[in-house]
Amino acid sequence: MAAAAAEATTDGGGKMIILISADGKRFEVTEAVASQSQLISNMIEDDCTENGVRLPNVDGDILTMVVDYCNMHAGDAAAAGDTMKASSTEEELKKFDAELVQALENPVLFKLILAANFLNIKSLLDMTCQRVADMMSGKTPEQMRETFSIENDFTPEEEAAIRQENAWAFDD
Amino acid sequence: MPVALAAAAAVAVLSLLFPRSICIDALCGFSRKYRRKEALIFFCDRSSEAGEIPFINKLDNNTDLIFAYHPSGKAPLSVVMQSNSIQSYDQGRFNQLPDHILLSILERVDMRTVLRTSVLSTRWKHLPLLLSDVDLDADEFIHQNSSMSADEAMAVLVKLMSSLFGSPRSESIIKKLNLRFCLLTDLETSLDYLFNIGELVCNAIDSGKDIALDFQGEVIWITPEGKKLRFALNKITKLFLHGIYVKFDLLWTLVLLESAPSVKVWNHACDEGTENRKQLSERRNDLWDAAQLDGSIHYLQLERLEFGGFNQIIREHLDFIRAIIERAPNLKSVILEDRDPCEDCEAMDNPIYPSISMFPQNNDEKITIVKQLKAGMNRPVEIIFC
Repeated sequence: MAAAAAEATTDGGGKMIILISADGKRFEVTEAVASQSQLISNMIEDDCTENGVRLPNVDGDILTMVVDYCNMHAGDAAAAGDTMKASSTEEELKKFDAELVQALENPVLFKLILAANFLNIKSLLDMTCQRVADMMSGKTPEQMRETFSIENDFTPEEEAAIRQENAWAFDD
Repeated sequence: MPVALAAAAAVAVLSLLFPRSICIDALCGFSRKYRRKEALIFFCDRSSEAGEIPFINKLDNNTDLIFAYHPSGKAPLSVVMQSNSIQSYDQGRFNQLPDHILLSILERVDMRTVLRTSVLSTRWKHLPLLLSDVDLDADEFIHQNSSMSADEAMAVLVKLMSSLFGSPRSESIIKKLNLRFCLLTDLETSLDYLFNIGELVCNAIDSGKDIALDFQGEVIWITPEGKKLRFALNKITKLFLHGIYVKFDLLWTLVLLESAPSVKVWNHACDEGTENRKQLSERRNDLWDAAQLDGSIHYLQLERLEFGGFNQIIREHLDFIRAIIERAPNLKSVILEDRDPCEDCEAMDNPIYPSISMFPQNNDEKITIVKQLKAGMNRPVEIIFC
């Protein structure tokens, strides 16, 4: 039963809460892990998480990634006291983050951005936005449209006029 | 709107005090005014699924979510959230990302890439006008396009500024603006650019913004007649001047100070050995000195001067600070700072910028400096060494 699970505590003493994805998948996480989401952190403060937190616009597969990310990064604060541990953890985290965003197909990346935005997890939002920025840099408009499946709704004349305005930016 | 709101939390409280329709109006007004804020609402009666909340469509697309839950926490309710702008099935498309996320992405790429995105589609065309963090670097334009001259790069910079800031920005404000100029050997043209830039900067900022001008160690000429520029800069409350050639007569910067209440000046020596520097150094005979300054200019606003990289053996530094103290009747404090460690500066074997710090070390040295700076002055200006 959800209520019973939500009341459960871990050995570490952190209270557990349940996150429920759009497709009904349930994730049990500690408050410390979930609090990296400012949204959920506010809800914990307002004491309204006891029946589980429903996230009707985050799919289960995306929420899996978000929960993985938060689990991985929840150690940041705890390890800060121990310098040796913190530095090795930092390297691991960097590797984890890099692998996470590198591997994503575009639609998944965009869903993850929306989830990070919705849940208000700044570090995840920064990281995923940076990934898109890196993918844009150095591309021509045509390549960007192709990479990101953007439909060109300009007439050829309109497009030419905008290019003319800042012609230097379009020289290769 | 019956109630003025300052924060989302206020809506929550209001919903307990006022009929729900008023709260909804207030919430809609709130979400329009403070784009991208989460909206938060408490219901006193039974909460329901998001789809049943009738006013969701009244909120514009920038409202991220609505909470609806029972304030007592006693009723068996779950939290209902709805992001009204995004439907789950459509999430995997780039164009579904809201404006503020696209802007956050654009703020991470260079200006050339930003301009390239403006032809992607009609939606992208207007995004550059909404940027709140703008970094324009004339050098960047040149490096990317080696056929571009400094003159053309400055023309590009001014043109970009006028398209970004030329008309009043109703939807967004500039939070951070970084400008890096390269100045030209032709005095007239340089001045024209500076005047244009000054006015555009003025358009770009609300009152009370910090602004950084980075001159990249370039030599600048601004004549005392540069009134247009002074006028344009008069909204600035804090002015940072970087990259001023270390041996250069700093007095020209005084022209920028007339309306700024707080100024920080910083300079480095490390550019000095380059080809470019040699050419510019030869023209130093054109510079003005204190005697040429218009005696009527006073810096009435100036209360605080920070001077970075202070070196007691450089005459220009002392002259500069002394001239400001004399002309700023409301000046309260002068803060002298040692140089920041700079590897490039230290690598140079230059008598003007010796490898050891020439910042006053002991009390005797400090007292001597204070005496030199305040000689004949009876106003209480505090000189702080840090």
